[in-house]
Amino acid sequence: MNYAKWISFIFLTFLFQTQFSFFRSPLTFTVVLAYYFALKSLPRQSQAGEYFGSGAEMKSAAFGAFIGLLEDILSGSVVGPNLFSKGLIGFIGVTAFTEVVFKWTPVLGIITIVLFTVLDGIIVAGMRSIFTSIQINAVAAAQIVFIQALVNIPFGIILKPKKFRLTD
Amino acid sequence: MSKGKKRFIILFVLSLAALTLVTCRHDRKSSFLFRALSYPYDVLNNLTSRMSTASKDHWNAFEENRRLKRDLTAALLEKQRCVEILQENKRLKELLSLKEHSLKYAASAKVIARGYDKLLHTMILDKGKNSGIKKDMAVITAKGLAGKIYSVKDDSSEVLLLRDPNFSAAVRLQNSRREGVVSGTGYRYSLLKYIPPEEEVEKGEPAVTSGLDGIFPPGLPVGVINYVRKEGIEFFQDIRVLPFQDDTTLEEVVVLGK
Repeated sequence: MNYAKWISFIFLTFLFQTQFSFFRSPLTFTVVLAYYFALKSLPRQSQAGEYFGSGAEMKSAAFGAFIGLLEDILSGSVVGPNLFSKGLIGFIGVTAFTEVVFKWTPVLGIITIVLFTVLDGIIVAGMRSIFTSIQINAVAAAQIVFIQALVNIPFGIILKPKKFRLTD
Repeated sequence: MSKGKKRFIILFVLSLAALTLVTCRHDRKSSFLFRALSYPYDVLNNLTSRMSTASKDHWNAFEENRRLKRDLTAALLEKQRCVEILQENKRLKELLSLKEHSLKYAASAKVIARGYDKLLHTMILDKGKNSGIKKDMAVITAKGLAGKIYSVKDDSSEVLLLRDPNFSAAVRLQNSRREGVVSGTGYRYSLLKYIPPEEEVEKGEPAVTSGLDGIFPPGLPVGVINYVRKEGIEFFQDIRVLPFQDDTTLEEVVVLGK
């Protein structure tokens, strides 16, 4: 059931991503999906305030890498840039919310999703410009990333780690 | 194993996988696995596009029918006039012993989705190799040049749009007959390159393909000059071309053979 849910999420994400645009800019809902999976796989907190279930980072990174791999395959270019960026988002998403952040707020959610979108844009554009011969207009790419970050902001507010509670 | 070591291993594996796979450039036909993975999305895109097109067509059918009848009458009159002009043109060309370049029709196709690649400005068409479409074929609309075929699969293909910075086409200004290269910028306008400052280029002059690039047939309308700057330049003028075909309104296209 859980697998079916995530497979349908992946299908819908790619479908929305290819069918819709915002101010003529392509959207990047795959970043949101990787972030959402990271939040969902956050380890439970023990009574002593210590976290267990360190496999969450690996699971989240693997899921991110998988959707990145799909995106790379669909894009028809080199395989790797999206795999790396989404995998990294999955990995950092779990690490950040277990080691760095100890209380979730909507503002923090916005900052996180914006940073992840920018990180994704930089990694993908950087690796594509290094490993392929395509020309990237830096200003236009920055505008696209800016619009993608704006579109992703509501998800930063809506997507809240349910199991993430601070012990008193 | 400590948490730090585990994290290092995850990051290392992730980086290694990305750097290893990055050497694997695929063209969507080399690997069965890649084709199998992308197949469900192509089918889904096709399906949703067909559904939305069908509902939209149904909705607009009556109005479109009325408009088409009106247009048909006008077109028949126009056709009569054009037949006369074509015959006259042919006669004159024969007189001048010019070889007539006829456009080779490959397929007409519908735009079904935006391209998967976020860094490229591409569109996906519902026709592919099975309809005779090949890489680098010109894609046009009734208004003018729209792009060129970037990649082809059996039943779909991807168009690199005029807007993309990786797109270039050899053009000629229709009135002054000066030659240059039009390149995409990522914005609505394109750049007309390699026109030296001593050449006089006027705003409003149309640009058509020259055919010198060996990709696009000569005479396809590309766009109109809408900005010319000679001051503060280095070797060539800063000339902007506004394409006749806006890619945001692209619905149906024609693919031309070579």
